[in-house]
Amino acid sequence: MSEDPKKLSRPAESGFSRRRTLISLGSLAGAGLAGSVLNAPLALAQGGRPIRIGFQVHRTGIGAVYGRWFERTTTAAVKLINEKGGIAGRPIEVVAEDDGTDPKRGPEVVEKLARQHKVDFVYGTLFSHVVIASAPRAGELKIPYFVVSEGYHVASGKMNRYCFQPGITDVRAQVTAVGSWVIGKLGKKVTMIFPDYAFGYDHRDYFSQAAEKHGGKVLEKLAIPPAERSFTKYFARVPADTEVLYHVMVGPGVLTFVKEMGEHFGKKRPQIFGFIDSLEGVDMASAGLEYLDGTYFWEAFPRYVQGKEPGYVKEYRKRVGVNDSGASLADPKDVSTFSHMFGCWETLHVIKQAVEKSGYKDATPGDYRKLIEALESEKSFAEGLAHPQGAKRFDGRLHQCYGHQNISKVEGGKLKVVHRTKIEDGMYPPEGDYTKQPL
Amino acid sequence: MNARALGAAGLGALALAAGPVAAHTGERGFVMLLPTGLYILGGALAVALSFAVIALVPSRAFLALVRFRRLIGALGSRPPLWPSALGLLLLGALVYAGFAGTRDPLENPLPTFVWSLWWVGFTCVVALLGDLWTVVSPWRALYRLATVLPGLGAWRERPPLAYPARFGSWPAVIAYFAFAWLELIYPAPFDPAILAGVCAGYALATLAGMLVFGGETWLANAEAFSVFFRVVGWLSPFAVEPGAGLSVGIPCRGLIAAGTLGAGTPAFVLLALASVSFDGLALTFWWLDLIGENPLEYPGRTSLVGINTLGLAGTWLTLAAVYATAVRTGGAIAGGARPQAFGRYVVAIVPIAFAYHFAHYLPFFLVDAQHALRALSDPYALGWNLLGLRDWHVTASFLARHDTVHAIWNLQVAAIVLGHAAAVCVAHAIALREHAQPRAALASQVPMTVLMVGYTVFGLWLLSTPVVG
Repeated sequence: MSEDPKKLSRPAESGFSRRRTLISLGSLAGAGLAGSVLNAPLALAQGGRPIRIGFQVHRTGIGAVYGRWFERTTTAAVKLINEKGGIAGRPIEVVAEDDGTDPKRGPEVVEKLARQHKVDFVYGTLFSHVVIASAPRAGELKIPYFVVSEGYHVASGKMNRYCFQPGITDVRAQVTAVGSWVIGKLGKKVTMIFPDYAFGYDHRDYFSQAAEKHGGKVLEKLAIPPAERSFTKYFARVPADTEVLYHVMVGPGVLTFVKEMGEHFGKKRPQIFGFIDSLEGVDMASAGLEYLDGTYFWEAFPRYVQGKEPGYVKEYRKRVGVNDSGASLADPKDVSTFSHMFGCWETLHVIKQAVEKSGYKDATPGDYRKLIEALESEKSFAEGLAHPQGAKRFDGRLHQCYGHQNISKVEGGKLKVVHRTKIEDGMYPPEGDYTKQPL
Repeated sequence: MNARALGAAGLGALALAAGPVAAHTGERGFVMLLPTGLYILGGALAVALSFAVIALVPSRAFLALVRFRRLIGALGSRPPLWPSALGLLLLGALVYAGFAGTRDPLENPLPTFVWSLWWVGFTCVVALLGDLWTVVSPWRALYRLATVLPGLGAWRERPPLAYPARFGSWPAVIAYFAFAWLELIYPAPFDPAILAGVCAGYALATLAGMLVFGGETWLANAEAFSVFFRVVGWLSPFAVEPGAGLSVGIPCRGLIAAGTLGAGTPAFVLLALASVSFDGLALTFWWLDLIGENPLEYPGRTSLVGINTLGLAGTWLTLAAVYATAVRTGGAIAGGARPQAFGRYVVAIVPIAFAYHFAHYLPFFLVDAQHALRALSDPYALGWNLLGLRDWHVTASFLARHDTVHAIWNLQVAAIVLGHAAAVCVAHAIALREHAQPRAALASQVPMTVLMVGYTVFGLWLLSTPVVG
């Protein structure tokens, strides 16, 4: 109890959250002094080495907007875990390294975290091209690498035995899951509008499969060149008998896209379905988005409070610091990346569970083997404060979780959930099996 | 290969490359909803009109205005040393934080101090108040400290080497290019330890230069930021009158009074504008499309090092060529080119460079300055709270709202238009000095005005076209 928590940290090596980690450890010590039943001070008193988690964070570069909220969520999750006794009685210490959202720097950051900072695990990568570039290095270094990306890269079987995505579902599962509802409720004849590169192709291909499976038909697939800034000419190519317009535009052109969609279709429009990725971090009540009223969006985690959330969702919101509209408590205009950042929270809780179940202690090949095999044997994660987005199934062969998806309708500048998919809706036949790779 | 052909290439290959959140609907998305074409047209007309208006002002009245100044205070003959000593202490403390503090580039005070408070913010202060860098830069104190050492003291009186006149400001140009390259092209300019190494290395190089060639000489010619801030300080309405004190006049008076710039300085001024312009250009969808990159899947800085180095150098050379053509054509129209015109008119570029500096960096500054103040509150992550902002919630919400983005855009447009109008006025004042006949002076400025109008359009386009990030 009298242990100075600052001594547990190595100043020159610690990362961005060190200060906050220290604060949380300090508060732990304070709680312990006050006679709290928390376990962490006990662990500290016993001299437990912190679990060092290397956070590969997009602090600068194009991922910085997401990075900011990933950092906040990570800090909140670490604080919670430490308050509740840490991981196996050991506090978490986060060591952050910025990768500049740069795929070429990604592997360097993984290596630096592993070799220089001697972290136990590497965690937190979001952008898919950075994940794809970094994962091989984690595999070579044989250090568990937990990504929070939602890309279909881990589940494709093309990463490696050390790479996991246990805290967020992948885009293939998301697209597959919504197919049944979109075709059943909105209409069978679909026209898809997507950006003309891999992100758009995932949607095009997986949704087309799902649509056909549920008796629908994709009439037209309109690929928009990434540098395009005017979209009216593409709307002119939408077949007249289209019942559902499926859009997944991203980037600065999205608001123009919505405006021109309104100008082209007006009130005589098909049903419109999109992915919240287009407007993540943007207030749905923004001027210029009025046309979206009455249209539908996929959300991983409902941004706006629906009124019947369980206590753990309220607790999650409070701890991460967002209000009922998914915006910051400190600045209600600062809208969070609500459908993505929960992945950080849930992944950290999966790491905790895997460490505790496997008896992992140190960064040795033997302990890593135990941890990886323990995680691969997981079948599910129960909903609760550790998994506030909902229950997950976990496929140890693919190192990927499956979960519920939400379809929300825009009503009065907010998103109202109209359907929550079953976990099975998003499952697909596995294309790989990591457990067959050597450790 | 088109989309369909790519699709046919197979799901497996594609799946690997898929990204969840490619590009963010940021501030630029809201700007694109504004009638930016009309703004650009209006801006161009305003700058063209400024030329027409000054043409109507009698040249005598115009020159009287330019020469107006009023003494407002007395100053010592040399600036005191203590601000420089404080600057040196600050530099040392920040460099130490860069090496020993947190690795997080936004929580460590060094990167955001350098790139936002100093590079963006301090430049604006200098443009407003004059060349304060001379007063607060750490170099004079560092030099004094080093020459306290036995053996080096004599070097202060008599430097070992005479500074070769042919060097002019070229060492500053080289250093500034390296600095711009670090900021715009190097993959990790925010890495605290790397930046600390660069700062320490530059301080040592500056010290070496001062020791060998003499402090004042090195700072006047070869130290990039002394040259930069001296030129930026010419924008200020305030100036130090040698032997008289501090005076106030019209903004840009220092540019008009500068006379012919020495070797290298014109290239320096053009580089200053080229680098900030290329910073804007390199992030546009237009540029990425041109170099064959998908702007929605920005490949990161590392893989663009080669092409962007070429881009920076190319922008500099293109700008220099366009400027030289404008000067030469102007001279020809007015009757005979003057050999020194290239170095005389280049100061007219300075208001444009500053205006674009302000407009381009404004959105970043408003976010990164928050990080900087937060980090400075606890520079060594020891739980201090020096400024009371340690737990400040850094927000960028004003870049994702129509009203605030509109307000920022209006500020940017105002800055660009004012900067170019000021440039037209500066060029006119110089032309009046160069040509005996006001009519010849006016005629000589037509090509330069065309350049100003063109750059207004270019600058506003850079601020309104889709960009990554």
